[in-house]
Amino acid sequence: MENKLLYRFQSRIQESGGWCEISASGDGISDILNSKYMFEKEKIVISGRVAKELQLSGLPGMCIDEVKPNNRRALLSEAKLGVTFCDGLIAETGTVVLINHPSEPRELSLLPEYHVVIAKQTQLYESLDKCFTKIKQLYPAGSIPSITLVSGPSRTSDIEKTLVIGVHGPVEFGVIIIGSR
Amino acid sequence: MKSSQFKIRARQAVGDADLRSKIKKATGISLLKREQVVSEIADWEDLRRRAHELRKETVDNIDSYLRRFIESARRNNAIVHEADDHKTANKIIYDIIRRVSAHTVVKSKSMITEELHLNTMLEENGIRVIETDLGEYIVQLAGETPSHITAPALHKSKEDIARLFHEKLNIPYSDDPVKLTAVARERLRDEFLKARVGITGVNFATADTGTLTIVENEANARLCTTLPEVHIAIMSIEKIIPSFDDLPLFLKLLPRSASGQRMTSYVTCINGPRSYHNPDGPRQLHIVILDGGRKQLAKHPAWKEALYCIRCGACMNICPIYQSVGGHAYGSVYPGPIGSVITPTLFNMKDAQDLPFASSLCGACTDICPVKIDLHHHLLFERREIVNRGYKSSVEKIGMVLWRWIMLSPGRLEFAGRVGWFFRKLLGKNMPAPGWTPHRQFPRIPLRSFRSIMRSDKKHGK
Repeated sequence: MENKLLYRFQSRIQESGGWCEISASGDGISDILNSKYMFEKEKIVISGRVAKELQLSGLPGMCIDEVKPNNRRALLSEAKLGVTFCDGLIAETGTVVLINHPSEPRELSLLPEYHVVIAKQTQLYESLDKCFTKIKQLYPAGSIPSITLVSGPSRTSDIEKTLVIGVHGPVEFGVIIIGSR
Repeated sequence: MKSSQFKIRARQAVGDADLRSKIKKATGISLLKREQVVSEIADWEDLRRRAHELRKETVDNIDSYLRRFIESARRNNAIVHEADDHKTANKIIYDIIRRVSAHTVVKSKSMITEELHLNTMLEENGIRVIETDLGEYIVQLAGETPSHITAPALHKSKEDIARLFHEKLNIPYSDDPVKLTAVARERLRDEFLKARVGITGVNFATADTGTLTIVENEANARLCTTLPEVHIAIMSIEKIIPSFDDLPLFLKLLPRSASGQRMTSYVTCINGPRSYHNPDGPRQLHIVILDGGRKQLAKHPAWKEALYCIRCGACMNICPIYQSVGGHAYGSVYPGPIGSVITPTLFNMKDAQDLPFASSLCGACTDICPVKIDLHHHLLFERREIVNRGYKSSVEKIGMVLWRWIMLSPGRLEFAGRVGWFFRKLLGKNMPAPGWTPHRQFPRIPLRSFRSIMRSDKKHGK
């Protein structure tokens, strides 16, 4: 069942212009990032949740927690790549669910040119309703933070219905799932 | 621009082959993409029915859902403003901007702000408004209004846009959509970083949690709701849906119907300004809720359905009239079949009296509507209302009485047929029928009528 969801999620993300790779363990993630992006360390900013919740350290880049809140916006608008964790993957539509978190500000997935999400296979849901039900259980009523659903890179078809990738948000969007097929 | 000039503008549009081909191309692509992602959902009809029921439930009990939404939003620390009419809403918005001494606002696409003529009002008061959705940015640069609710610059070719950017932004001429988009990205990014107020519309407002949901592809709404210190979200009362649990259903219907996507690139669900629970985002969230005649409309047994609309634009894409005349001809913020239903009932029936007649009553709009609004029947009922109110000319009235009198008797019908045949024979191709023969030839009337063929067949025992 999980394999089927993983496969569907992967193909949905690809159909909407993103990429999705599977890594058997956390160790392979640095390699995937290094093979795709060759930016200086200061140009890569990583969510504090990646280290905390995935026990992943040693990724190329700097952790947002080490940056003072007042300096974050300036740093992120110069950054090339933002790496975040997430709160759910929706197989039906190829959607990543991001909940606002102190170590994962919204700007991190919004201002840099590229956005990569690192997720666990166990975070896969078949559909959005199932994920929302779970979120409602986790947070008491009236205290759900803001939620962003991302299903691909920033895009437009406003000029003659021609698809153009990269308008105001990230020009590239990728997901690395720790798991196995 | 007024709806009362529909006929004049429609005639111009129909004569503009260039415009027609642009509209046909754009609507055709949208319909094709929609078909692909709708056909993969086995229970699409079921989803439409459920959505219709939920919209009905909300509109039937709009006062109580509105109360509930406002309570929930206030619990989330949002500042809620209610505006009975357009003028009040504009004043509230202007006051919020003035209070923080902002001179520039960044704005994402919103039909309700078009309805308010918000940009004009703010600019008259010295506030610079920057439209950030690419299509809206194009339309704003051109000094025009949107011609489609989800694709505002649908009436423009890439060459039109290339010329516009070349003239207004002083860049070398290029009609490459990728290059044009890159120019907009670069110009607008600075504005986003500087702006202190962001204005957006709302797609869905959930009554139980006070969540504002905004659906988009470009990330300009994300920027408008993340970077500025103050976010002003503007919505009309019917944007409310009962529960956060209903959101997945509407998020399944809207992107598929609007842009043929399973999900738009971004959906933002805002649960309040920056706070303990919400570590970032604007420090102030203002929600301006406009009535603008909707509470009254919600009481009408039939026309309340106009308020079920979730603004996907599918009815425009599929409408043969919209495909021929485009959005501007309607002279309303809301064009197409839903616009022809909303404009007379919500704004001004006398001015918009031609709009319900801008339909072949084929019913394609009703079939495609994701919330099952019975659009073409409403158009028919509005026609009756327009006649009952006496907006039609006396010539037309006499004509209709005569028509009825003829149609009620077989003998009179046959006689009228003969008279018609006689004049056709006499005048040939010059048979005058105003509004028709200037563009098309009058059809040939056969030598023998259907009735006379039937009679002679009977006589010969066939």
